[in-house]
Amino acid sequence: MSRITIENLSKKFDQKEVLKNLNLEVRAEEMVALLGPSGCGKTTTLKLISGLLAADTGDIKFDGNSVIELPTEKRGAVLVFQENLLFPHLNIEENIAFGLKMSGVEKKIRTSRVTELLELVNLPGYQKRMPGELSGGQQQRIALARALAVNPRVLLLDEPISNLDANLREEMRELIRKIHEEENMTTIFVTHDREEALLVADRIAVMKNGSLEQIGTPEELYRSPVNRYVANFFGQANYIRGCKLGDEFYPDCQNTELKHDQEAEKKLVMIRPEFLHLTKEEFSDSDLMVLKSKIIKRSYAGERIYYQVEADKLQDPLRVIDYNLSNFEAGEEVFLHIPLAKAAYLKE
Amino acid sequence: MFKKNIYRKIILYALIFLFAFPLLLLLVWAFSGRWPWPNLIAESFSLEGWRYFIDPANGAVESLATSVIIGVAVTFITLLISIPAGKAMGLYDFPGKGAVKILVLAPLIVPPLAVTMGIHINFMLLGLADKFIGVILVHLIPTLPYSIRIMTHTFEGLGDKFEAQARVLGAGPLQRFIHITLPLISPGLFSAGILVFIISFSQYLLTFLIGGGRIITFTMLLFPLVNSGDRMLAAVYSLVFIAAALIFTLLMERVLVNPAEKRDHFYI
Repeated sequence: MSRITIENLSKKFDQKEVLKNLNLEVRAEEMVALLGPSGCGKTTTLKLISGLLAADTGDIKFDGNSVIELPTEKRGAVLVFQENLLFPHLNIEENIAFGLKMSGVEKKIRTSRVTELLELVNLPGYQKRMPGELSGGQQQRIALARALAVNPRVLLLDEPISNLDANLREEMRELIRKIHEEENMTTIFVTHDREEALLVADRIAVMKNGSLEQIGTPEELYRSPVNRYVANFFGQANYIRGCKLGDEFYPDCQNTELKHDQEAEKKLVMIRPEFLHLTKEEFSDSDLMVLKSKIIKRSYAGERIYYQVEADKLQDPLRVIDYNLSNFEAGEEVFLHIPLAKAAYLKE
Repeated sequence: MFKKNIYRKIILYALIFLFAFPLLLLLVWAFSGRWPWPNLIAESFSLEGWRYFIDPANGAVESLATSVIIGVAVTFITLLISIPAGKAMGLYDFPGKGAVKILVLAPLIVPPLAVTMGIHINFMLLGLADKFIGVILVHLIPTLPYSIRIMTHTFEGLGDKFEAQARVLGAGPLQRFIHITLPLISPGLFSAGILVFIISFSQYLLTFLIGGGRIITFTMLLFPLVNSGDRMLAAVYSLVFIAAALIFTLLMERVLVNPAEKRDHFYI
């Protein structure tokens, strides 16, 4: 249960930079998701932490002590591979107890730890089964139990859920969360599925092309992403270009007063479609930016209605998700209310 | 449907006949006494052939033991070399890998006899000719290519992920080899081992050249018998030959193939 610090970690495979100066801190007993598309260096990061790959430059510290020189078997960072890799020639008990046996733990203690772990992963009494007799989801749970058996300093999970059938995913998500809460294991898991990351992780590290874009709680990443990449990763987003002057925001910097004012900052505003409101009459509130607009498209999706709205002052149409609070037809003139408090200001 | 079944049955019985008939013939020959031409059935049956075989004066049992000892030693050494070689070629990339792969196969392409002449001279200089150890060493020439090939494919199929998994769980190099790699490659070792033993066991020419007639293996007694036309004795020796190979195969299977694994569909 260690604090993991990654400093300026870089790794190249044949000239191709897979990781570029990655910096990441995972607190003790925290669960962090590494989120990003395939090929962004997530799995490489896990392998570097476990020691299966050697870093080109940079350092990895567990509780402040560098482990970069330690061989894999002495690091205590247990990686659970995507393919779960249960040893096919050993039964479930021997699989789970493998790490303990290797470190010379007594048989009695091993047996009781196996029983305890099988209960934790909801597979009691499976000791004598062979891996081949188990379903994919069960195998994944055994792989998890096997990793937990050695009380690792950090648990590394490589896409633990993505390989499973859709109906097993929720179960596995909850299990991972439950285990995390019961065992208080520092956990880093890799995923390309944003929902998985949002639902399971304490914090999410969004990666792109081998470097970290942003790390934060699920809410922080959804509400206030630092750039377009992160914003788009967590759902649909509307972008409005403009200038910020104090608390005021001027779309397209169109306000004439602004032209002489050098303090105005050029900004990109990101706001999620569900935060926008459409009304027939104009509301005015200091927090709201109200724009006269026209509906150009309406799609009805049951509990939601998707609108595409063109505002007079904006170049690009905006997307609005309405939860059946109003009902407009395409072509109608409406007022678009943008709550700036719920918007994120991104760097251009 | 009906027609298909008939073809299938014809092919099946034809195959059974093709394989079983020569064996049956051997059995009959081995126990027959006088069997003059053109009789369809032997005039008398006897155990004379077997008596001759067991008689220590004829050295048959002793030569069988020699063959088995050489075969086991060759199998052991070949597998010992093939595991690291197969792993290197199956899992790692190194400069000149393609060339090494072809070189390993070279003994199959170049006739062993051509090489053995040169080896014989060198073995004489080194004092290995006419000795047990020399014969064992020379048997490695025809066996290593097959065995390394099989182990290469075994490691290619297995990959290095299980070892990596054992490693992150805290297993050191020796522990990984004993507890993970060895059991997982045992099917490959089994196939390679049987093949190697049988190649060594049926080796005639190389044994003859390097052994210089002093190392008498079973085949060296069997060949003249087959040639001389003493069908009864040849049949007895052949049956013993087959039985020896079969017993070795069964023993290897007992040692190497884990019964639990056979049930596992992951079994390679």
